[in-house]
Amino acid sequence: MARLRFFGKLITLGETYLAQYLAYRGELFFWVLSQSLPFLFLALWVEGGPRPDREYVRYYFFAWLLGLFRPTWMAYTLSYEIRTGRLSPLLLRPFSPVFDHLADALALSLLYLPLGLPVFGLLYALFPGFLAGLSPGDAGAFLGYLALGFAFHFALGWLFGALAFFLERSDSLLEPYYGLLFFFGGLALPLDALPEGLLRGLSWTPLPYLVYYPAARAAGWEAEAGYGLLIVWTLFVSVLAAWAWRRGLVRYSSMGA
Amino acid sequence: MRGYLRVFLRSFEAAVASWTEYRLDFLAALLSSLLEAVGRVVAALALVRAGVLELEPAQALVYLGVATITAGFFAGVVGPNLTAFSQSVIDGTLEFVLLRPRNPVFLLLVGTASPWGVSDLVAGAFLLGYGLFSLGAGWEGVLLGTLALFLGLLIAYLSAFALALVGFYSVHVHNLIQLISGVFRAGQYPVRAYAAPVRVLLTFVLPVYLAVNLPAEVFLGVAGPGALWAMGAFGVLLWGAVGWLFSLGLRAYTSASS
Repeated sequence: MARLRFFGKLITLGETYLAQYLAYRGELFFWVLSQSLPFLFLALWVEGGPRPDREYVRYYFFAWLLGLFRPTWMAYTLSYEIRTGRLSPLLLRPFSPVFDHLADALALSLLYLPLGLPVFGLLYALFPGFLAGLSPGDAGAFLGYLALGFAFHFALGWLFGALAFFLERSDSLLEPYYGLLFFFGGLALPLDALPEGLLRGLSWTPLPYLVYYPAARAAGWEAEAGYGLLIVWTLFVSVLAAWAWRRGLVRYSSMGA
Repeated sequence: MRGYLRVFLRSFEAAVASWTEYRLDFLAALLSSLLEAVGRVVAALALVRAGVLELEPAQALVYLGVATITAGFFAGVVGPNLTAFSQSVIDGTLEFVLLRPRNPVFLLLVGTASPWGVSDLVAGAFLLGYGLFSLGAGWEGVLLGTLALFLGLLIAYLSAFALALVGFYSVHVHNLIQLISGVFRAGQYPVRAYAAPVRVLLTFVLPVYLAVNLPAEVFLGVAGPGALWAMGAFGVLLWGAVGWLFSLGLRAYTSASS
């Protein structure tokens, strides 16, 4: 029964957020396009890289797909709600604002899929059959990474958003992280192009498991499985986020309090 | 002319004052562009090592430096002004600009600025300087290159503004501006290293080659003073085109009172 209510809430909230986002679909489309900028790097590898084109296309395609399921805006929204006091009405409801943000993030990801179709179509027209030969095992492994990556970024966004309780404004604190993810996570380049020692060092951070390993696996390259490390990181960040949220709520004073 | 200069300096001052209010945010932006600059250098060197870019490492740094300066210019000047333009269309307050006794396109271009781009400008200048120093470039080349760089920034700005004029028809342009600035970033590598469809996009659809690659080639001595003339001529053409497109877009503009 409790579980049913959980999904019921999620679906209702998700529908609301979906409707809200549909009002600005034009702008969202531009956002999906700007998420597709790493394909410019693909154009470099296809022209001069040592591997067959098809593998590079597959790598960049799956790296891009992961990006559509990354709750990027949560930290900003949460920080904004805390700063402006808009969090107060959400706290008055009989369920946690976590539901709002979860539903929000899922609705947005769902909406990105049809908006990303033109990008997929263009890629498919340029490189017909680039998905051929994808094994179900690799696809399954990719989906596992995708779900874990979503969880990791959700926790991270929650942590940085909740920092606004202590700092008033935490909107840009995640920017350095996204800069790192772009170059050292594997969005810009497959990480095996980096010096080997650097990659070995990076393998202790969550970064390569969020883009490089899953995309390389789907491209059919040799890639170690790193679920364990990513799970540990996700738990660690979740604990920090929960702690920041609890402590933050105690400090929180909205208008009139 | 002096009037224009005064307007420019005053609006710049006011903008810097209002943006430095949130210091922690500013520090985060600084850190983020520092990390990004490191990432870009690592990526460029990796691409050189993999043989994807047929350049010397120092030459790659020159291309990267020019593109980073351009990115800083987008973050500091182009982005804030175009967002402000789109916001004034949404709010119906474009009259405040139209009623002033100066060219409205000019006023919109220099209306505001943000210090967020400064770190990219510094990082870009450092990369460019380092690359040129290790190549042993002469001062004539550096002088010509600097001129070309300024012309390139102007071309990039005007073409971004031309695209942002869709703000007259479809109001939110923030993500569009992000997209344009991202495409100009592609000039961090020579356009000829990209696959053909992207090469066409970067040369003819958006003048990335002209605005970002060409200045780097002038710095490197690959392109001569002729490139400057071509850029200047294109800039003048673009200025005319933007003025015309702006007056066309104004017809679609309706404020609260019209």
